[in-house]
Amino acid sequence: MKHKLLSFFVGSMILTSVAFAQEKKVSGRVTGADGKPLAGVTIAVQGSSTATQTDSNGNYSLSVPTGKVIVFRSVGFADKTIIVKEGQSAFNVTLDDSNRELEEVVVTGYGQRQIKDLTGSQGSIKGDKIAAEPTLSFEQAMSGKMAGVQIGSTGGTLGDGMSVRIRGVNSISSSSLPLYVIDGVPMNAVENVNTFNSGDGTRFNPMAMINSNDIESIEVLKDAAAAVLYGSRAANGVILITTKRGKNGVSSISFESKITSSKASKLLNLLNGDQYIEINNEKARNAASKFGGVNIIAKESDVDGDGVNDRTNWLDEVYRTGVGYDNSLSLSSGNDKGNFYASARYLDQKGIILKNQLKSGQVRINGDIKPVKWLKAGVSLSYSKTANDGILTDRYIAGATVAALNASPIVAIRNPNNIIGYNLGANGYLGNGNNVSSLVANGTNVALIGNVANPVATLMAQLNQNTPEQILANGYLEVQPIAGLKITSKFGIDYLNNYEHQYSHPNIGGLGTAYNALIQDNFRNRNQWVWQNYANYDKTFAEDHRLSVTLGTEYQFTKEKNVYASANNVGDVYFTDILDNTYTGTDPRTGDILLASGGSLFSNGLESYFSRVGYGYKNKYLVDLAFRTDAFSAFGANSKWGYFPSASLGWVASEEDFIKQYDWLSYLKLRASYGRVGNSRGIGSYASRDLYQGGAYASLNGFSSYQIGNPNLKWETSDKYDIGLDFNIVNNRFNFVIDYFYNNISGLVLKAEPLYTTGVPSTVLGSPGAVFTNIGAMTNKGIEFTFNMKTMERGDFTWNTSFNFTAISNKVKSLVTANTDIIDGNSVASIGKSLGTYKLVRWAGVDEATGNPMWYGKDGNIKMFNPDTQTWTQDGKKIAGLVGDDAVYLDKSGLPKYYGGLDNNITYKKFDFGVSIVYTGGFYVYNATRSSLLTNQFLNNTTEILDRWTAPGQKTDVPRLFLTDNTANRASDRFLEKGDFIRVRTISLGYNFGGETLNRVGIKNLRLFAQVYNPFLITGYKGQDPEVNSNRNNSNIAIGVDNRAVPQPRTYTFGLNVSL
Amino acid sequence: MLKLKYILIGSIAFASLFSSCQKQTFEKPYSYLEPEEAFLNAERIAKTATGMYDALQNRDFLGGRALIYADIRAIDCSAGPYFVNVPNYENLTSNDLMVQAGFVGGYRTIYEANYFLKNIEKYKGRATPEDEAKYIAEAKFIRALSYFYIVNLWAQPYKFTNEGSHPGVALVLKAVDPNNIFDASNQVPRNTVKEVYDQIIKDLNEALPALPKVPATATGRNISNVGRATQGAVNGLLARVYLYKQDYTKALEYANKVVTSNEYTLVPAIKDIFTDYTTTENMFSVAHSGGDNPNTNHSLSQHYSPGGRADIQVSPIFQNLMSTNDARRKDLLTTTKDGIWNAKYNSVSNWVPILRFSEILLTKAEALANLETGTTANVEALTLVNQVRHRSDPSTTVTASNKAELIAAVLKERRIELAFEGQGIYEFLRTGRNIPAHGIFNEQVWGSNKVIFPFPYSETQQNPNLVQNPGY
Repeated sequence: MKHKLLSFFVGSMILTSVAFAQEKKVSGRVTGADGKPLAGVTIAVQGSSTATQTDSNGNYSLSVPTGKVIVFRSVGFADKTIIVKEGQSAFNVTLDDSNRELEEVVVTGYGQRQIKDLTGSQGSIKGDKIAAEPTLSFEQAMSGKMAGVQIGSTGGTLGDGMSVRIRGVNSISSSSLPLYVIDGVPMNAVENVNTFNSGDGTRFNPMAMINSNDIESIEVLKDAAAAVLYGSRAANGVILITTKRGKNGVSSISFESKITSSKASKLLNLLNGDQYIEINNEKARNAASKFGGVNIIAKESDVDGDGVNDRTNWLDEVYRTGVGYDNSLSLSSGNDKGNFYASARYLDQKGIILKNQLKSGQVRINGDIKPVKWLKAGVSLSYSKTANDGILTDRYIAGATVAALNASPIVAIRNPNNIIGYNLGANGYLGNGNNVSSLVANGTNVALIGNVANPVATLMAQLNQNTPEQILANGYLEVQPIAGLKITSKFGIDYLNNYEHQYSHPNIGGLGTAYNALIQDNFRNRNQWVWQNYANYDKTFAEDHRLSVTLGTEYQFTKEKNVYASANNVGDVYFTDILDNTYTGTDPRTGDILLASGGSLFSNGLESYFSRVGYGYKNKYLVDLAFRTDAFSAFGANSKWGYFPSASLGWVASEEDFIKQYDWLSYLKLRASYGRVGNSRGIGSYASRDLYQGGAYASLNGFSSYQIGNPNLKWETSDKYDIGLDFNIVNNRFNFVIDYFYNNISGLVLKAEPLYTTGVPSTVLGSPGAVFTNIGAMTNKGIEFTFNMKTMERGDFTWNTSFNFTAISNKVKSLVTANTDIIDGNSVASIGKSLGTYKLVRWAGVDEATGNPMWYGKDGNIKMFNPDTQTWTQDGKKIAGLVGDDAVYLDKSGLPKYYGGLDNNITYKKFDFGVSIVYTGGFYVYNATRSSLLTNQFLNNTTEILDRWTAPGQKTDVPRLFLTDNTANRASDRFLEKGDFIRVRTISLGYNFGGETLNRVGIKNLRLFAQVYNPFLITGYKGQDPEVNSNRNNSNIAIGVDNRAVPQPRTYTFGLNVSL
Repeated sequence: MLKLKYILIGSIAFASLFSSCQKQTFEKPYSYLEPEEAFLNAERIAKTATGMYDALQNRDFLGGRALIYADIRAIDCSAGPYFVNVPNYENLTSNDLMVQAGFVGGYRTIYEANYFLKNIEKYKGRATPEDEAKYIAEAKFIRALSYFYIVNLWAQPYKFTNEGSHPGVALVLKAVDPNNIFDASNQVPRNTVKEVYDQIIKDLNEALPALPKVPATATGRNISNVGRATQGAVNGLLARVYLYKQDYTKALEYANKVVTSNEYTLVPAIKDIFTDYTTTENMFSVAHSGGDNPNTNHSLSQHYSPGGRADIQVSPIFQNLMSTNDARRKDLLTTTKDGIWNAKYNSVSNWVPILRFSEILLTKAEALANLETGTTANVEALTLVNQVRHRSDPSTTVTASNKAELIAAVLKERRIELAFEGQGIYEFLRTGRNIPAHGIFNEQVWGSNKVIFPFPYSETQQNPNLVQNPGY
């Protein structure tokens, strides 16, 4: 949070007061040095509680006793004081921002510091920038706003997770998400509150529980000097969220209402009914020799009985326009003795997919009191509850996005003869109408379609709900025994609760049909408390020597419990909750009793001590030394404690006489820092121990091994170097920040897989066994560039531009065994290469003569597959086919090489206009959506398949169709595409009604605005959106995979903002 | 002065805040036991021994998949798209994740047995010597059983070379030392098939004496004897191991041990075997309950049953191997509009059948038939085959006029009787027969590369001593 260091009675020499003063109305306009009106400037009468704020046009008016002093105060500007004299009623004031760099303070770890003293790399974003976007979680709105910070969206369902990467991916198998700290208290490290479907079902990001209107500012601590006080959790960077508090002398009520309308920004082009018939019968015709000569499999049906052949565009049925509204109210007030801020928000948003809907209520109260000069105390308390009607999407076979892409367009949605009215087969999956679902080949039945869910029935008849609740609270006491020394004790909690509820309908294929309805509930309860005690001492000695010292402790304790229950063989579809006596809990086919409950429980603790000493000489030369030590319960007995030092230097060159002579250079500062920080996120609570777990064998109780522990397990350490340059030129009109950074990560906490023959247990179902080890090293280096410009100012017209650019390169330096990659899908972590490097077989195209697919072998020889004979040939000779070694490293990675953003804001009279652009480049996306939608199964395809080979001599990239052959579309670099994109994130237009008339009735501000979010995407990528990542934060290796995700929405917002 | 006093009091109060808080924040695991706790006393050790069977339920291995892979690579059923390339010989590669998961699952099961053996030695004397011996025997049984499936999935059959001297799979008989887990000493080469079989036989022989017999009557049979290692199960498994080795003398010997123990009988209605699980015919199964298999993708019934995922269809050719009177056709196959389905598994709590008495009778028949000198059809063998046949289909009788016909008849009866119980492809491999063309797949010649699984690519990358199977 940037605000003025509250220097009460700063103009104490003007304290001469005139007795028996008269009340007098004064008014005027406040502008900056550039002549631009300043909104939100506080105008307070000294020594009284009378105060007001300027409106959006910089105008103010207030009643003042003559002879009193009024103070003009605003963030980033020097205070200005004026004595109100007889006969004067209009004061047009210009606030001077020339020394803002020196006066402003920012929130840092465990305190606040003046910007001029900073030697680390720290970026900040104002809360109003965040609140202006129609995104549910605040991180998403940070996209493109700051150099070095990359925000990735993972899909267009409501509340889906975000990937947040500060200066690259800084871990391989631990989490690469930053530490979040709200009002000084570290938050729970939870990325998804839901657990069903192994976390691949309905996802919900707990950050969406924070009211973005409450955010005053967000600070991102990027290098070690800035983040070192968070020690073992700082390697991925730290995000400090500061919520709003009441301002001294200002009472205000503000109300905002928004209406949004969202649609999928892009959908794939699927075959229509006629094309589907043509293509699928061609698949059959080409393979007729295998299937007893049958060459018609797609046949017209009239399942819904309306007398015409069925045609269904499943994407149109599943996607919709989602309308939402979002209302928030805030109150704030404050005086010398205390302040408060309170807010309430309610939002109701419908997603772009049928059934997807989210309702959320959020309240907050922040308050501080200062009863005596040496004591200050306060609380921050927020509660929010969300009811999320989620849906299953990618990574889930019955997911709407998967089923809607595969489903036959020549069968109907509904079937009047079905018990629940939908077109469903006997097994509860989509009915095939007259389509042929299996054929006999060589006397064996071969399924052609498999199980495809009826997308509409699956969405409408089933439930995937979750109801998270969060309490974020902290209270503090700050004692100031002597000037400059503040001793603070702060206790905070992050209490996160989630009730997950899934209902699988007895007539819908999957869990529902298998269990005659299945109702599953999971209660998750996670509480984290943090207790901090720290002292800050700030003092200037003999004018030239500034000293600041921080010393403190922190304890953190986290405990999570999950309780699971399920009900099956449910008496009636009327019951969709677990209710007494409405279900038998037995296997509907055999009567066996099924286990219907379960749970898990764990805790971990962190104990820390930290200190920092900063020294500045003449505001020119700065030195900062910091140290933190952490003990984490998850780590090995031999290495519980980790030690994290940092040192940094700053030189404000513009204070030197030999530079002061250059008028054009307003400010110049050089920074350099080194530090060592750690990463512990994502490490299991007991990862260092050999453990047994409950190992029941049917009806017998038992214990079986859970994991092999590593008693030497310790922090992943990251040595971070940063050299930075901040400078402003031409009277601060142009501001530049340039940083070079180098992160050397060693002792990577690798969740390393030993040889499978060792058979070590796995704590993750379905994954090979793994052991946490500190083997491995990796570097991230890059350049960040930020440029802010007051582009143009002409009278009522102002134009501001800010641009940022980050270039980054990653290299894996060592792994467990030198020649063994860590493989995740088609991507690897491999020594000497960037994380996420693709390793794939290379596509050699389609043989023009036969239409058969071809690939390059390891040595560049061409291997061709003939589906008719099911044989592989090379130069006409029969060979074994592709082998593991034929996949080769491609010099392409899912990690972007550069990214950034460009913001332009223009105001003209009462209008404001903004365009915000983000861009990312130098990365490749594996388009698994494309490969799966070229399938040779009897499923729908994208229109790309219309280019298939049909006649000798034809040049195409789509092989001859051949029913059930899945080799033609096997993984290869054929589906690897450049992901580079430029996205226009937002375009917004506002109009301020502010003015004399409204001011007279007390309305400070009345603004109407409209915004379009995600209006354009410029990219060569063939899929829906190159920014969608199917693996979300679950992988630091398979980073750029597009696998049938929900596209990001395009959202239109109309809103009204009133403040009194 | 007053100010100084405040500072002093404040400092003391502040200093007190710095005291360590570890007792409050560092807790023991609630959900897990350290080995010392798991082997604390006889009662705990009994539970830890049971836990080896929990590992045997590995969902990618003997929880069902090891059986499925053997059957969908054979000829009597066809797997839908779910199993991708597992049944597709030509296109299976070493990157296949299902094959990898199966390999991981098999060795994971073995680790549990090895780890138990290591700990029972470390905490010796906390259980009675008899119990310790029994648990050790169970660990060896589990290890032997797992190796038997692994060696048959990843290596050519015993008779591929004289005396099984071709590469088998790596024998890992000790739990890995946590301190050397990434040490090169773990880069074990493949043992020969003979060495693997010898180890299986050794483990089973060592296990035999310490194991209990099943209770004499069906009423006493339950998970604790049919779901755990018994002498009957060991003898039955040895009969199969020797049969796969084509050591018919030994196969006959162990089949006879089972038969003469009089512990097992054929039950009148074959379908009961798949709903009761502890009949006098069931010799060993991996038990499951409704709590062991809570999801859609890893139980036999989900894959086979039309009421489940219905991934695997039965071939009409297989159905027609039986007369319409055959109970195995009437009760163990279901026909729906979409196809023919295996009805042996209908519940997510289905036990995974490993050994049952009808197999022993057929093993005995096959051994007798093969041991017959000359070309005569062994009469006892024919009787045994018909014993199995007539239980399900009294209306037809198996006949054979010579040795070759008899052997073919025994194999046909095994194919029908043991269908979808996890021996499909081995029936071809162990007998030296080609796998006929089926579905869209070509005939696979006996001994050809792709009839066995590849080792996972990453395993071959990490272990330079592991020689990949040819063709992958």
